[in-house]
Amino acid sequence: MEKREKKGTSRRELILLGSAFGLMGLAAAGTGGALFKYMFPVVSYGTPKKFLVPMEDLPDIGDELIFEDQKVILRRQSETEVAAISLVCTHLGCTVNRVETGFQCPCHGSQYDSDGIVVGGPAPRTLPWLEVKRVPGNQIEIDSGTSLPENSFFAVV
Amino acid sequence: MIKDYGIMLLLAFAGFAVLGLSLFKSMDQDFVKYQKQYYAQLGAGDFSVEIRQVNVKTPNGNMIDRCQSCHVGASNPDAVGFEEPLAAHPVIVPGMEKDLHNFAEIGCMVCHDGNGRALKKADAHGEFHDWPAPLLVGKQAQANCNRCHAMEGGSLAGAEEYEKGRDLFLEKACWGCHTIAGISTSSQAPELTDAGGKFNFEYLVESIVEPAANQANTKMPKFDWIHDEATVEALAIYLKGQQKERLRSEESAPIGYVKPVSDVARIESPSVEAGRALFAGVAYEGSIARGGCINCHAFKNGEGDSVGGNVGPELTYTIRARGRQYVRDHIVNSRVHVADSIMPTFKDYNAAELDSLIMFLSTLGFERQASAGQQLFENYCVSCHGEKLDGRGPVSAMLDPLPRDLTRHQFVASYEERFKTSIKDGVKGTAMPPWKDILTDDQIDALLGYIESKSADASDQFVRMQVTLPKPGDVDRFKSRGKDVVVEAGDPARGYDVFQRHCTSCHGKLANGKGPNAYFLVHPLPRNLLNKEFMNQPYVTDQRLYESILLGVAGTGMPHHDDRLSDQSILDIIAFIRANTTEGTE
Amino acid sequence: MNELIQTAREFGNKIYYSIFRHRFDNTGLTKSKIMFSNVLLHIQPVKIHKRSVKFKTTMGLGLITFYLFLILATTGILLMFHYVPSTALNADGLPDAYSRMLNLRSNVFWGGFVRNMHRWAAHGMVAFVALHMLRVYLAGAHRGGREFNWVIGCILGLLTVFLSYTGYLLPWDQLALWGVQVGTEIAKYAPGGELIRGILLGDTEVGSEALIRFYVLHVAVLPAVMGFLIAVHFFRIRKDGGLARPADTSKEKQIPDEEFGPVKNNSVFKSARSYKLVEIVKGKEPKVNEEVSQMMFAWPKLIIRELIVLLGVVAVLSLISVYFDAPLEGPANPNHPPNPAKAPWYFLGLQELTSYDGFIGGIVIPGILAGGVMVLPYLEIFLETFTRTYRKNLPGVWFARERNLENALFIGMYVFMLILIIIGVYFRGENWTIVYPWEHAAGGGH
Repeated sequence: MEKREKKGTSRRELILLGSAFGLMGLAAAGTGGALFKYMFPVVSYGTPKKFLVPMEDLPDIGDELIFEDQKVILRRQSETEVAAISLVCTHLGCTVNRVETGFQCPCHGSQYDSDGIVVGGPAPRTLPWLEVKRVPGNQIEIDSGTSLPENSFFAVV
Repeated sequence: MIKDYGIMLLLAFAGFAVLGLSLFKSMDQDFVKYQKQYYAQLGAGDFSVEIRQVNVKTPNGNMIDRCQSCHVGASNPDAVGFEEPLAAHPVIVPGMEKDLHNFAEIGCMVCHDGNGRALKKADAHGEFHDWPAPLLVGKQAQANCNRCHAMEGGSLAGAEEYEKGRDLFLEKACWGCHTIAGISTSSQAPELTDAGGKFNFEYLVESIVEPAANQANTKMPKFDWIHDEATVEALAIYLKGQQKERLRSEESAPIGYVKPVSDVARIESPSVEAGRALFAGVAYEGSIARGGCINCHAFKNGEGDSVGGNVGPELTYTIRARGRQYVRDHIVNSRVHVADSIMPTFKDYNAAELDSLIMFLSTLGFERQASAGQQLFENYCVSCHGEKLDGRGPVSAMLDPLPRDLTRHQFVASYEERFKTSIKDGVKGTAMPPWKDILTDDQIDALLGYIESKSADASDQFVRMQVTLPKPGDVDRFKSRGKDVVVEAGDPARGYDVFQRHCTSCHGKLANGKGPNAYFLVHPLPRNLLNKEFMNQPYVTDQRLYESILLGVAGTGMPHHDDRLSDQSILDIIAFIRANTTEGTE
Repeated sequence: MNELIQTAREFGNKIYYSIFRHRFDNTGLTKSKIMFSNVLLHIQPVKIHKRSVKFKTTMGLGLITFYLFLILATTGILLMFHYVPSTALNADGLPDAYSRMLNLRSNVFWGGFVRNMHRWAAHGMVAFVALHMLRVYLAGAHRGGREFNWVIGCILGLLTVFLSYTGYLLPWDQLALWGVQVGTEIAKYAPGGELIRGILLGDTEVGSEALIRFYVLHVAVLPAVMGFLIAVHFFRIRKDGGLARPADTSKEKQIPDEEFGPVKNNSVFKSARSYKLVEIVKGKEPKVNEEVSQMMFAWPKLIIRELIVLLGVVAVLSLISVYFDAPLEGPANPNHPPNPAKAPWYFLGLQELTSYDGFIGGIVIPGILAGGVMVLPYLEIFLETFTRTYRKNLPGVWFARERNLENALFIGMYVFMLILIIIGVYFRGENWTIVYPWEHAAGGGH
């Protein structure tokens, strides 16, 4: 009789102890997650990855517009479609120059054609094409943080 | 043991709950709610809630601006009519279809101040203790146009309130006392070149409306045009806009200002009209010379009503009473006549401008055909001495010395014989002008009769003691060690010591009438004994000083000293005072 | 199949015993092993007196203080990731250090909470240090060989105040600047105060030099010294014979078995005090022989109780931090002092005193607080020795009758400072005039 009581007590003890430590573990995990968010950047103090371009500033059909700060070239393909290409070399991150034949990197001589496809030099990949989105307020948003395959055109009008 | 485990589980649960609460609170930020509301209202399905930070590029680095995390529709024309804080910003430059201000680039804080880093409303709007630049709402934001746009003069579309304020600053003669670099040079009042940088909007409004609110000892008058809120706000917007720190220099400003054609024109030939314009503070034929006398001084118009401010004496009779040269000198520097005058120095006027003012003032005048004392008093004396003769007329507050309180029966009884000369010849070093060219002897007698009749209401008969100024060689009233002492001529050095012991609490260590007790005396204030004009007029004789010190001045705060000061000490004090105010000494 | 299980179990055992050198059973040996084979637990004795875990013995005050220190260290390191000790003005006219506070409040997830924790824990630590000291004195626990540890404790107390004070400046807002400014003004009254002030501030006024110095002191120098002295403090507790306690009496109840469960003594040490063999260091040790039965294993009772205190501290502190934001005023502006300018609350008693008399408030009282209290046990020994009034020392007895006078004086000192601080915080308005707390919003002193 006495023994059984002891056993019951120790089982109850174990349950209490287990749930207490379980909760503490959960709390620790939550704290860890919160600290992860605490350290992770929410805003950028440099040039923002996303930027807005008013519709009336879009280039004419077939024309291009270069945003030097954001290192992006905006190309108007047709009345409705536009595309944005990153000007950051896929080799080691220099800013490529727009030349007659396409793009050329001043650092190690990588060469791209006008669609950003590698035609020479050490560059391993095509220049990333970027996501373009129509946003409220009669403007488009270009996200230089994206990386899409070539010929990713977006209808914005 | 099981009890301990139970407590531990309970506390672990409590800790877990509180942790959850803190995480929930950190995630539950206002901008999330607003952005969801905004996209729902727009009907946009695909959106991401995020802090929208604008890094406003300035020559000194980036300004961080997160305002549009909540004010998410600021640059979206589709969001017109949304409720705050989601609504589109109204067009800034009137008449333009689309505004040139790109909020994605310049943010909100550049114009509206506040705290661009914060995401909570109260924090972001700067509504917390000691935040230097609380939110500027609506038109108030015009104060900040000049952070980017050059607009020292001329006009900038959309900055109407600022320009109205600037015009007021000139028209209301604020510039007479306050310096704003490039506009005025005066050392009489705090410099306002960086007023906007130092003070917040509310403080500026408060200081205009009630000068004493933030500085108890201020000499700034309360002007009578300040009851108009729109005016005060415009002026405060202009002052808020005076900031040394600018984001753009005049050269790199996006849009400059249109310079007025006659930027440096002055009045070249004197005329009454030019004087009238100067007096009223309006520009005369494009001249930059400004006056604004009317903000402080009034004059009687044809109907006998006075128009103008209640800060300085009425000027209807000034030219006739004082003469042209006196007025001219007074405009250039009033302190040569009245030591404690608060009138600004208008030293930048050229001869033609001064002449114009004198010519205008000479046209003033209003004759009241009256012989009864009361009517005369109400016409000539009331603006300073007040309807009740108590020396508290409308303009009295800013005069120093204060106008005499004529209701003090004992004072009037003591000095009646002096009144006639005071009215006829004025009291030098004070605002009391000589009236002998304006009033006839009969009129002066009538006035005296009126004053007497008003002050003789007190029933007791007061007779002032007669004393005579002791000459060197006379016997002192006080005995020294039981023996009579012979009085010698006063010695300024000894007088200084006696003065420091007996007089400074009211008259001040410098004898300028600004002792510590002077702030508790109401009317009149202790005499400024450095006022040369006053001290050197023929009526202020040694005899009079001796009487005033020995017997006190009845009806004022000046006590008698017959039990404390020997004749010798009084003579020493007189010598000290005289030494201070003799011509050529400082 | 069975073989595989067998091998897996063997593998598992190998891993288990590489981490733990013991099982978690209910034997005395295991309970001892748990304590001395774990780096965190071995700081504590294997066996403790049963009174040590009673609430009324310590009220957990020292432990709470230590936990607050740990919380402060943790949150402090987290805050360092987002802080720059610079007064350089940003483009928006805000000092860098201050703008980081604004960031913590807005775009750093949990930043406001972490800062609140740090702030409130700092205030709490100052308060609990004071309470701990009061407890130690009233229980006479500073005597009976523990005199030196009292001195260490006093130094720790001063360090706590100084740490809190150096941290007070770092947000670089009006409250911080003027609180510290006023604090250094108080220092001027002390002999050599100008020198100390110069060394602290690195300038004649509180400015950018002061900020960097306060920062280095706050995050490196003082915590290091503090950590070392805490180690000494704990070490001495054990070397001085554990928690101070009165001699056991035969009337005292034996510990009931249920309290810590039956102990199967299957160890080689048949003596009930295996503990003694572990302790080969020279030093005072608990009395042996007569009250062995009053000793109990520290595992698990003591550890669980310590955990309870930790959980309680974290829960209460978090709750406060969720609902009360750490104060932050406008950015520091050396040209625009607030009225009244108040020092942090723990200095407000001194500020109040200096407002009456610079000498008393700046030299006498701080001298008594810092120096006099520190040598208090030696002062008692001195008086007892030279007046030849040997009396029974009663360490660990609350409000011992023999010590009524000392206790009354000590409590009097606390009440005196408390009243001054309350006056300073709540009853001082503009120009340091007396006002009622409901007539103005108290500025400063937080």
